[in-house]
Amino acid sequence: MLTLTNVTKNFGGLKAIQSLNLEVEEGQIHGVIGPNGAGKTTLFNLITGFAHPTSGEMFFREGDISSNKPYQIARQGIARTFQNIRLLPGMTVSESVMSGQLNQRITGWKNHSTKNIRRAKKNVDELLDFFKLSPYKETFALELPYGLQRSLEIARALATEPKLLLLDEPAAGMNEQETEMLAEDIARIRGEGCTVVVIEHDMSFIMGLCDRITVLNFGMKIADGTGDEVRNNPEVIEAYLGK
Amino acid sequence: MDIIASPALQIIVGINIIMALGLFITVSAGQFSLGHASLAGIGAYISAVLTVNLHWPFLAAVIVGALAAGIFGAIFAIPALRTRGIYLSVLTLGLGELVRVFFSTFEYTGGVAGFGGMKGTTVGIVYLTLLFCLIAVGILMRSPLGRAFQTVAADEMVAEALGLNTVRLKVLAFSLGGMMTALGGALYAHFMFFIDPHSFNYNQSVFLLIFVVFGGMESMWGVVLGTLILTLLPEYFRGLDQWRMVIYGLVLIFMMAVRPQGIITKRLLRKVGRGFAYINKRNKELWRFESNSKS
Repeated sequence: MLTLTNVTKNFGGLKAIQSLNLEVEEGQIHGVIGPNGAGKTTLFNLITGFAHPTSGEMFFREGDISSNKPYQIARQGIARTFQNIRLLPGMTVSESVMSGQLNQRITGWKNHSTKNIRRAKKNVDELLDFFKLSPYKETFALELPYGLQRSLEIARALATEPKLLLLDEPAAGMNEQETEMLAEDIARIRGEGCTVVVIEHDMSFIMGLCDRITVLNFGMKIADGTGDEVRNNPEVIEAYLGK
Repeated sequence: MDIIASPALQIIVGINIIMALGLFITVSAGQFSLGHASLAGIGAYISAVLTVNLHWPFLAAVIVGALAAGIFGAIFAIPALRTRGIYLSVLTLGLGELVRVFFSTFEYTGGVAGFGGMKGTTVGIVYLTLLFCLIAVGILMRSPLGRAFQTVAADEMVAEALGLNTVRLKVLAFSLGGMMTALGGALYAHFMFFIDPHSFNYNQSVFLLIFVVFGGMESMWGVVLGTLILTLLPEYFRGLDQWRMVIYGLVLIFMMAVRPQGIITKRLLRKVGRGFAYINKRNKELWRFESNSKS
């Protein structure tokens, strides 16, 4: 579904990503792990068009997205969340999720029809139900408890009706119970037919959840495979624990 | 209270609200423009040339002036694509001054001496236009396009990640907003009989922005109230001569210290809405109670 071939990204002299090959298959939950500074977030920024690769190519469902703008990529069906939660200040929970529906609705004047808007509202309500956010509909986004802020960000991303969802450290700062709920949510999102890529530090979380895991270190892929394969890979152990 | 009976003041209040609503559209997309008065100037000059030199009918000239200013608004948006926040404000300030200097040296419209002979604006026309603008802004803010503006204002990066073309939206916000402000400018020209480049300098741009911020830029009602108060205030204190601008300044300082978000906020509107809903519900319950006890 998503293919990266020989992607390299340099920031001046810093090689953030070095000739990376990555294949994300449809319907899977794909984990990306690695120590701090391994290039995980840079990878997401490249895929979503917030940064462009120095060299190499990226394909999404057969189309080249290497030089696309973020909004074009989003419209093609890739949605993302941010490492530091970015909620929309001044908007309520339902308004925030509605923002995600907009790109489906504002291309062309005929889409301003009441029927279209009614459908958008229905979609928003369904998403809020899905994430158990319905009781907070009219709450301002920034006033939500932390765990629900993460849920809201994911709901907003899903409102763009993506085929591929990129989650940047969704479990950061969550307690065990919240992490469990998040894992359930991610599994349910996959159940709805959306492929998911997760960046995470929490090893137990990612091992239990992902079908496939890619390990990055210093911008290079050092391992790729199922949880067990990755866990027993000597290079991975070295990167995480040192020699 | 007698000064509000003066038609001249009524017209100025109406025109100011129209111009501030225009800026409100641009601000709703997070673009704090300090050049909107010059867009009003473009609308004023173009419509004035059309009516005085080319003998166009008043209404057609006003509309064409506004549309033309919409194109200039889109040109204003070009720097907006690369700068944001305070830098954008300073840039639009510069662009506005550029327009003023252009009209100061442009012989065809009289240069610094100004341009005269326009007429036709009446209280009725101004308030009909205002009504139209209020309806238009009200619809816009609830429409997907208006919500997209608000998303861009809230967080550009998120807006982009949600599939919104922020470049196009910002250009549209400048263009649509500039159009409405220019509509006010064109009406102003045909009310004053005479315009010169100084009628549309940065001072006016700053006033417009203050109108929007003072009343609360979260809703158009804040803009209406802010403009109303700040236009009438100096008139009420006219008797105090030079002290009236001191009072004006003090009011602004007081507001920014006590209620920086403006008089009318979304939160306030919601509270009022809930209040009405509550009263309605209680009335219904009371009514039901009474009818039950009767039976």
